[in-house]
Amino acid sequence: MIHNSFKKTLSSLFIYVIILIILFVFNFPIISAVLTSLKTNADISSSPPKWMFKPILTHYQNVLYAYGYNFKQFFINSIIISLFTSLLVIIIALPAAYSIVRFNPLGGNPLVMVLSLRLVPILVFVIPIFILFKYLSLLDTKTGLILMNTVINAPLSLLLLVGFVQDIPESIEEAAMIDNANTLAILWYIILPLVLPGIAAAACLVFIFTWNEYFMSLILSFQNAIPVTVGSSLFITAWEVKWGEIAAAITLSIIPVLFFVFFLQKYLVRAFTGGAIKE
Amino acid sequence: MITKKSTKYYLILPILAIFFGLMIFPTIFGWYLSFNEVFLSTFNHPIFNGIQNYLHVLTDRMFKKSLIFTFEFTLLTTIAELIIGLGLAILFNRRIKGKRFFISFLLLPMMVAPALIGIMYRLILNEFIGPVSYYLGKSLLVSQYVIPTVVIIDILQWSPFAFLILYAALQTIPKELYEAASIEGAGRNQKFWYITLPRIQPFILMVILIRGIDSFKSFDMINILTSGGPGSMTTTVSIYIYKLAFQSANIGKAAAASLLLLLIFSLPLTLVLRKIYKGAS
Repeated sequence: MIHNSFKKTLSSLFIYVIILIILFVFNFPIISAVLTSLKTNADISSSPPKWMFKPILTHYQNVLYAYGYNFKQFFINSIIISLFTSLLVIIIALPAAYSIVRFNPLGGNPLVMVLSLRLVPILVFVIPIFILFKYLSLLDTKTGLILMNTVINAPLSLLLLVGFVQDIPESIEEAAMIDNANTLAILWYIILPLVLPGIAAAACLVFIFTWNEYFMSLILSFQNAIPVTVGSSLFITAWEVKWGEIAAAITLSIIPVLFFVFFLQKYLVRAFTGGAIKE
Repeated sequence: MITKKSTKYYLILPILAIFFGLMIFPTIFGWYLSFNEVFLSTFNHPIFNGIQNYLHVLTDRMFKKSLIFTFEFTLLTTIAELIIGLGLAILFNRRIKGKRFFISFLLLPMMVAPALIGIMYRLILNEFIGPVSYYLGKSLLVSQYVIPTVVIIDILQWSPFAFLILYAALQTIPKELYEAASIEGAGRNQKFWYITLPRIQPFILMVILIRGIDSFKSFDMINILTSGGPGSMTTTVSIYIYKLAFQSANIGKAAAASLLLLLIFSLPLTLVLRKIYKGAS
């Protein structure tokens, strides 16, 4: 008996060790961003690499306050673009989701339409969009990026919200209809409060995906509307590579994501598969 | 009840307008551009040149090279991510204290922007101060090692995705099946091949399709890490088209190339759609 339980503890210990090694390897870029951001320049370039060192916050101060760094601007741009994209996506996707669930005005399976939109390479429409935005003076504006991020993220949110609206029994609305409430009132006073968790999940996911977006921003912004993903990469091409500052910028850019990951775990499968798999 | 009929259309109108204005119309405009000679500087005066752009792209050695690299990259990453993801899903499919916490950290890499991951690997793999270069005693971004390097980085970021799907898939298998198999005297391997694998097969397909397609579209991480080099060794189709449009400034040719990319995509696209239609009916 004793022998057996000892063996069990040993094997579960073994599993913990394996898991910790795996987590270390997978998260190595994130770990080294955090470590590098806290090292002095001498410690960063020391060889062999230093794992123990006296942490400093100079790089964070530089990135946020020193003259010549636009990082704060990039950060604010990212926040504005991500927030307004989340808002706009919900505003257009919630009524659409309700309409699809209750009336299905387009017919067919909305899932198919949405998945096919997800699979189209962004390149196919972003090059013409560049020309169109030039005509419309939307190039290098936050509005332009908000609009494009909205298109990219709307299908996914639509699917998530369709799932949530489907769970609401129709009888709740019928009571309201007897009182002659119009559809918009039903949507606002009955549906909206009931799908609030779904709205929160969709909004957070859109926020993260927009926050991480790089490709479209690289093409459609070059001065005023640059977000953190493109902005952080600009630190490299300067004639002097300031790794400490880059690492601090990256660490700061990861914080909003970290904040959401724990909360969103439940919805991640649906989000990444375009709703094709329901947990 | 009279309001219902008109309402059902105007509720869905905003989202349709956005799709049409920013996705469908631009794609049609892209078709038009692809049959014209258009440069970034002369975009106001496109000149019709028939299928010239398509011919140029199809005979371009760089296009062929980037296609071959992209297929290679997609194949290697998708297979590896599937296998590693399945391994992780099986590893986590047991009682572990603090599992939720561990899973959160396992999923973290795929929640971080691939662009930022790319920047960090530039430091990690830096010839002079990167820790990996120090311990291996060589730079991994030289032509000899660069392809395995970008493949491995992609695997490290996206295996958690395969894990996420397959872990969810394993939860759907009823425990009784395994218990019954144990009574019949089935071993661990037999249970895996005859119960687990057939049960999660649709999810495996899902991982292959989604990762395959996303991998084929790869741009962010590789563009930042290597900008498609050294030479053009790690130029994916997306990087090729991006450079065509915004470095060579040849919008017409880039539009043609992007539509050829769409053509390549239409095969897996129809496969996916057919699969889903079947699942729906």
